[in-house]
Amino acid sequence: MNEFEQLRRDPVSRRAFLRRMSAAGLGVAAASLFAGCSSGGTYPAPSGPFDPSQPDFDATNFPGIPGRSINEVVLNYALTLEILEADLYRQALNLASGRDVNAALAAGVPAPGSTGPYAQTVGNGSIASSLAPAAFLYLVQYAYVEAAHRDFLRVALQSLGAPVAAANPNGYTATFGTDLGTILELIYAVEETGVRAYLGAAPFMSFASAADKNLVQTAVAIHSTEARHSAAVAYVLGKSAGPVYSLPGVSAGRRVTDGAAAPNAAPFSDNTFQYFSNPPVVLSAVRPFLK
Amino acid sequence: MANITFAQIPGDGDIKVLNYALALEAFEAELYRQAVLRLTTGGQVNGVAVAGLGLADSEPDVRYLREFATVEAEHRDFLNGALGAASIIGTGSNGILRNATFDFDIESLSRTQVVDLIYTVENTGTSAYLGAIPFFATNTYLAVAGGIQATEARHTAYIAAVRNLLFGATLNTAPLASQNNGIDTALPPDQVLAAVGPNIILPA
Repeated sequence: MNEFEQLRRDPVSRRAFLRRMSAAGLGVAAASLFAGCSSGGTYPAPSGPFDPSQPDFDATNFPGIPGRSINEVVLNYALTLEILEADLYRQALNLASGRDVNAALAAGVPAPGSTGPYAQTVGNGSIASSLAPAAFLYLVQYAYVEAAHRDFLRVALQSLGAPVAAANPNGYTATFGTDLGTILELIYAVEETGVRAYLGAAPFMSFASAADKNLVQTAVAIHSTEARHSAAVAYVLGKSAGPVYSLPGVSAGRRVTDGAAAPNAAPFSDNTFQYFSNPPVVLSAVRPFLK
Repeated sequence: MANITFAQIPGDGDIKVLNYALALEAFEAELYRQAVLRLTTGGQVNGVAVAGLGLADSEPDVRYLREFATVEAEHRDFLNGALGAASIIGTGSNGILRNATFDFDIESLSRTQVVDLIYTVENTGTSAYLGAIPFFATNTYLAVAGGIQATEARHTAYIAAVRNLLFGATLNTAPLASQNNGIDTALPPDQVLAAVGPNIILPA
């Protein structure tokens, strides 16, 4: 069992590891310091949206994503998307709470049910007033969760001795609306793209050893939390729980039963199986968010 | 009650894992069917008359339970169809749950308890799929299993949100950043089977 395996299985050892990483200036504590910044990578400036100068284990399916093995590539692909998601959430939360869009995420994870130091200052927009408190709470909670996903993947890759994907040097940008509803509409599209991305990437992963299988399990476990986020945001927006095939602003979906780019076919309903997207499709879909 | 262990789930490798998933989907589909009856008009469940709570279809819990009931039944039918003669609920030699019934004491549950039970079972299902992944021999069915698992996760989050709105509860829709790095937790198959066993009744 390698160190990462131990970390994954054993929360105590994971905490000890995180403490060591923090002491070394590499882990969660360090990562959170530059959570609000657009840089922090150790690689030269990419010549494209995703750094094509990095060693590509699989340049066809994961162009510009570093890694010495397919599992490292997929984890870096996930990290690339989590960095983007965490940053867009940070911006969305800042806008919804009247802060400077560039402000860092406030230190410390708010207690369960609490929005911590954040309070909604924008109007509800399309969100029903009975649902607005929950909508804002989810925005706060998930902003911290996406940052935690990002930090977890960084630490995991570092513990494997793998190259670690860098943030886009110029940061990320999105056209957010000016009320909670439109801000969450954008978040919804980002989350849904994330769900499709994980599900589309997991089958590329090596499934040979027990350690490989556990990495796949971890990727799928992050994937289902993104699905939860997508569904809860859909709820406050008055949308169906999904999965939904056709979503504006979201990477094209393929159905898991046969890989076709189409809604689920009879006798199955549209919302029976989560759709997935192939990595190049996802990378193109998120390109407009790169500054 | 049926104390089934993962070792007793029929089939090897991928087939065993798919049969495990099918057992859970059959369980969930039947729970949803009974739950909708209890919340609405009532009806017969395992030969017992269950009184309905008379809720209108426009109530959010009724509406979404109906919607998800269809999805869970389709998950069950999909896996059952894919497994064919190897199915754990089929007529072949693997069909150890062919004549099983599922008893949730649904007739005694309040509206809140029904929604809570659905939430717990969906949450368990999400973790159960994760716990089963290392038991797959190949990654052939990974996308399908993940495609179902994400759907269960969606249901869990949505039901939590409905529960919070209807009954003022504070269920988390997803793991918080302070809980396992905001990542869903895997439950080993035997732990899941021990949890659902008391609700599974095998014919004498």
